[in-house]
Amino acid sequence: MNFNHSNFLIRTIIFALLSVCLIILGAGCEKDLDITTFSKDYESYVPELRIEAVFDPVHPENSIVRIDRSIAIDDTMVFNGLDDDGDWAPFSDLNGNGKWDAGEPLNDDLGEDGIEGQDEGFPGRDDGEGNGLPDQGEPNIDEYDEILPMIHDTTAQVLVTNIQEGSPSYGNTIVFEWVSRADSFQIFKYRGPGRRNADEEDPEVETVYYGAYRLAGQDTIRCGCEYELTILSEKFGLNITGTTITIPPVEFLTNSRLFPTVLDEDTLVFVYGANGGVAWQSDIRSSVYYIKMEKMETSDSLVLEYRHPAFPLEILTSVNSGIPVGYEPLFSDILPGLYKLTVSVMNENYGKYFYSDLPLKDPEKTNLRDQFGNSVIGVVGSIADNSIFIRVQ
Amino acid sequence: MRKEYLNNLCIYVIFLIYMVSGAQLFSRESDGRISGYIRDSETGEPLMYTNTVLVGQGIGSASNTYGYFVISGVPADDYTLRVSYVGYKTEDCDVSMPLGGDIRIDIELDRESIQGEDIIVTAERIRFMEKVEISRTNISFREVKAAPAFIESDLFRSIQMLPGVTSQNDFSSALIVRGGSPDENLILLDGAEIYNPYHIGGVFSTFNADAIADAEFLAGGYPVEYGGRISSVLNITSKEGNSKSGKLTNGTPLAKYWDLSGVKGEISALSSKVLLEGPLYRGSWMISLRRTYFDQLAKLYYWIKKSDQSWKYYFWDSQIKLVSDINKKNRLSFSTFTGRDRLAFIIDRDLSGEINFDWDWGNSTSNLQWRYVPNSRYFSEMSLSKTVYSFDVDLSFSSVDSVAGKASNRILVKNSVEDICLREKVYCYLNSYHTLTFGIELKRLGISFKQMLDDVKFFDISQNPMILSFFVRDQWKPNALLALQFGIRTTKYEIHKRLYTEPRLGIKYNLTENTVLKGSWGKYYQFLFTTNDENQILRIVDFWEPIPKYLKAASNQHIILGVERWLGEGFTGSIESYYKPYSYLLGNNPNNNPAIDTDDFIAGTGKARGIELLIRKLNGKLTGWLGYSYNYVQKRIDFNGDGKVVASDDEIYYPNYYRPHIFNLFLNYKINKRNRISLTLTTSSGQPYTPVLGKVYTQSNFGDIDNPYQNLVNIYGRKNSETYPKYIRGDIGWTRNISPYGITGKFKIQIINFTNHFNVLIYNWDHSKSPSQVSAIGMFPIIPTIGVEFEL
Repeated sequence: MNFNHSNFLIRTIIFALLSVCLIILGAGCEKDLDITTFSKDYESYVPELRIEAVFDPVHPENSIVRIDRSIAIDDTMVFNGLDDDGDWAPFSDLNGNGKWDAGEPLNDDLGEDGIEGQDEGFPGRDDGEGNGLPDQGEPNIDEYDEILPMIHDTTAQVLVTNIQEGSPSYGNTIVFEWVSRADSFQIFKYRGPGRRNADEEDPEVETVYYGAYRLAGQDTIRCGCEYELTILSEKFGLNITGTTITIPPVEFLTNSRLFPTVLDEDTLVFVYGANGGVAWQSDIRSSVYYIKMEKMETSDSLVLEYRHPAFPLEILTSVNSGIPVGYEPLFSDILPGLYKLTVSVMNENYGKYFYSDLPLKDPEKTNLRDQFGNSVIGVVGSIADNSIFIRVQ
Repeated sequence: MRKEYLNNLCIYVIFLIYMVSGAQLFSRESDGRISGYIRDSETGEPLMYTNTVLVGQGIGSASNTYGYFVISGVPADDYTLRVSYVGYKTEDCDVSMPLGGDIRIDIELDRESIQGEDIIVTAERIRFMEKVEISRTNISFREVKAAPAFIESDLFRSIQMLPGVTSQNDFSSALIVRGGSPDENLILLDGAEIYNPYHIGGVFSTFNADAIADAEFLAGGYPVEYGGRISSVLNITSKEGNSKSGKLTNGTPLAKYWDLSGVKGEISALSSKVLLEGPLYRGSWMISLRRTYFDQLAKLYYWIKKSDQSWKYYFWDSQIKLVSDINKKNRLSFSTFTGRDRLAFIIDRDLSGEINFDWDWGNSTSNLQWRYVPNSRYFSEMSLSKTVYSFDVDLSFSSVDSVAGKASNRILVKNSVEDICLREKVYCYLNSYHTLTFGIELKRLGISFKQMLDDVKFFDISQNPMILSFFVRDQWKPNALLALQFGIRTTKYEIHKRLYTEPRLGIKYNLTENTVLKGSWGKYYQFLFTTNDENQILRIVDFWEPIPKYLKAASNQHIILGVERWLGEGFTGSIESYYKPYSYLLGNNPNNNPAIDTDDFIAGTGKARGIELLIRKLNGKLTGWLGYSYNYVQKRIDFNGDGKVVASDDEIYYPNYYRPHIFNLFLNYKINKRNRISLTLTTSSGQPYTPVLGKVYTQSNFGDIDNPYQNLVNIYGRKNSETYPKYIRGDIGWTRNISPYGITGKFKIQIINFTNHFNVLIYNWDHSKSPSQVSAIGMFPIIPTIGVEFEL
């Protein structure tokens, strides 16, 4: 099923279903429970490794291996409600009386809901607001920058071997090494009036860095080759292996009879409101697409419009001689301007890990095994992306 | 394929000729028959299971659900035919039977005293003596109305009180019968099949209790005339309407053609409903209408607030039945039923556009039936019915740009099931030993799923399989103690090459006058199924699909043995055990690739077994029943497609509706002429759930590609290996007869879950804290409701 903007439909249907559910569940009620009631379920559980190894044959330097541990239900270290890195700021006690008074900046001392109680449209003050102590739910408490270092495994040995017979680098082993700021992602944070950083430029976006294993040296990952991943974890006493085949990126169908488009050099041109779309085909072993649409504000500034997963369309694939075809329609909220559409394609292993609803350690969901033959949570797979420019006028 | 149909048709015709001829050899040509209809003289409604006997001869029978009786094997002589039914005056008729004669007598009985429970007792006694079917329970509309209910009386919720029947939770009226899923139940209204008979996502069924004359529920072992489902049959007969007591047009020329006999209404916290009935030319008519008023109350609220109403929800249903006896041999009836839900809302994005969402779903059924009784040997029913179940979503959204103007998109999702069915069923009363029933059913299904974005079709899948079935059954009573039933049903499902044959046997042996041993065995197939996730806690709508080519029809067997005892006047008890092995059942494939159409579903096996006890009291001041069941259900499905079914891969498990022990008590006590109280009590084992062991960040299950740490998900233990706490719920109700301004009526107060016991619906984990926190979402808390009924 091609999600496209249909995920919007799905979200809306889910919203409608939830509305009905809420009407029904409004008749029910909620009761907090003591988790020790469930201790027989989880007391014997030991945290284990989760590995996500993603190879990128188009940009090998982007290949990454994330090794983290799971968290026990009764763990008290990770989400501990403490300011582990010292970046939480209490309210500003302007009159020095030792307690918060109306008008004094709360800074991070916003209470469990993380929102200042006096903000327009929000209910009153909640638990922990202005108490001078860090509480869970407040900014800079138990956020990514505190949690992620506690779950990363930084001591593993990560090796990737080309096992594709006939390949020029057959038998070569590539080393991945630990990098503490291997990659990043952005999150949006609410900053209300009276909050610290309210005057900072672009205060709503925060960049979070996380650690992982990256290619060491100038080695490369080739397209269409089979690789074997080996992870030696002394901490867990495990030798974990898995294999995957890398696939090429998608090819945009710009001159196809089936998908006629207007092309101005390397840019597709669409008339606003005319309802068109972009099609592409991909490797027979491809699985899931990930679409990203960004608007070019300036020549080097991209703003994300939307992103979502998608799948080959069987209707279009069948008329393309069985070669998978994906399609992204241009919706009415893509206003006139210049855009960059990026389509990333996952191979079978990665795609199955991504969409399958099987249990995490099901032997058909994960292609990783330890030395005892047990399934390990995670995947070794590949992803490749390709981009095209779109002008809506 | 057409040649196959013809071949099978020939085989059946030859078989029937053989059966009928063979039966003729055993009957004496000199024997005569007496037949006819028994009706209520005041309303014209048929009287089911009336006792008809030739005085002093030991020959007699009972009328069927249509009020029709046949007494066979009557030698030439003069007799007195006695028709009796408690609550009615006994009627004696003189009958002179010639050699091989065939006499038709239609009789109307006068009411002696209106005792609703006594009528039920008598009918039950006749059914106890006559019926071979095991696992059968008949529920009258009086019992449905008497039980305390969540806002409104609901037939399905009353059935859920029977042993062997349960529901997923308080919010669902869908039936789970002996471990089978809700789509395994055949729901018939006047012979037409109904799909997804629920409102508000399953909180209520779509059947108005006031319009129901009788509901026969077969929890298993049902005979060959019912096919296409593998768990149970609920056969609902709607009222025909009062054909006698017209009030409006009396004395006018119109009175011959139409009149109005009565109006009944009810107002509850949920909806308003009205039922009208009266005589029609040579027959009767009945109309019932119901509509909820959430949206009207919301409209009023927004009008008072002087703001725009951005959402709307309502449901409505209607039932119409017209009956006309063209002459003594022919009767035509037409019934139609419609039930719809609608949810709509608008999200206004200020000046940048808006989103319009409109979701509409429901059923409509029409059924035209011709009943032909040429003589006392044959009783024919032919019907043509059409059922349409549809589910439509219309989502449109628009954007406005100050320079470029306005643009809009529209997404349409339509899913529909259209079922057109031609049925012919013939009862052949060969002699006093054999009653043959045979028939044919030709069904054409139209199932479509369409998804469009503006002019682009993403899906447009339609399937129109035909299903042709033949069946024949012989009910044989070799002597007064034993009754046997053999039947066979053969079905050709167009999408598959093979024929599906379903043999079924039933046996009834009278150990004593009041104790009956019953047993049955049968094979069952199903050609449609719903694609709802079996783990969903709320079943809002059903998505129906025909079994595709690459899968077989779902199938199981019913093996049932039981003892039924008539303990006293209106007091019955039964104990029954069953075993239901599923050789082929379907589920959603969790490993399905959304790009591939042929791996959406997956097959497996399963089994259900259990034992049920039911004690029922039907008359006196105190009526009701006590039921207990123990059951065991297990499914085995190779979810990951590795060729092995392994418990460690969560492929051998209990379904989430599984409750090993269930105890039900329903009591109705008549305090005096004006006041009545009722009580229902249910306690059962807790349902299974999958325990949570830990949590982990993962991109799995459609995580974010850019932020691999967005999803913190549960790590689960073995599927459905733990159980929620016990379920306990008690409901009470009080009904008082009132007559304000001379209008007959009832006032009701009901309290659902009067002990306010917290029954767990689901556990909800919050992993953003350490340690993780958990809360339980509950089912119905204590809820009082009130309602008023009136009758004009």
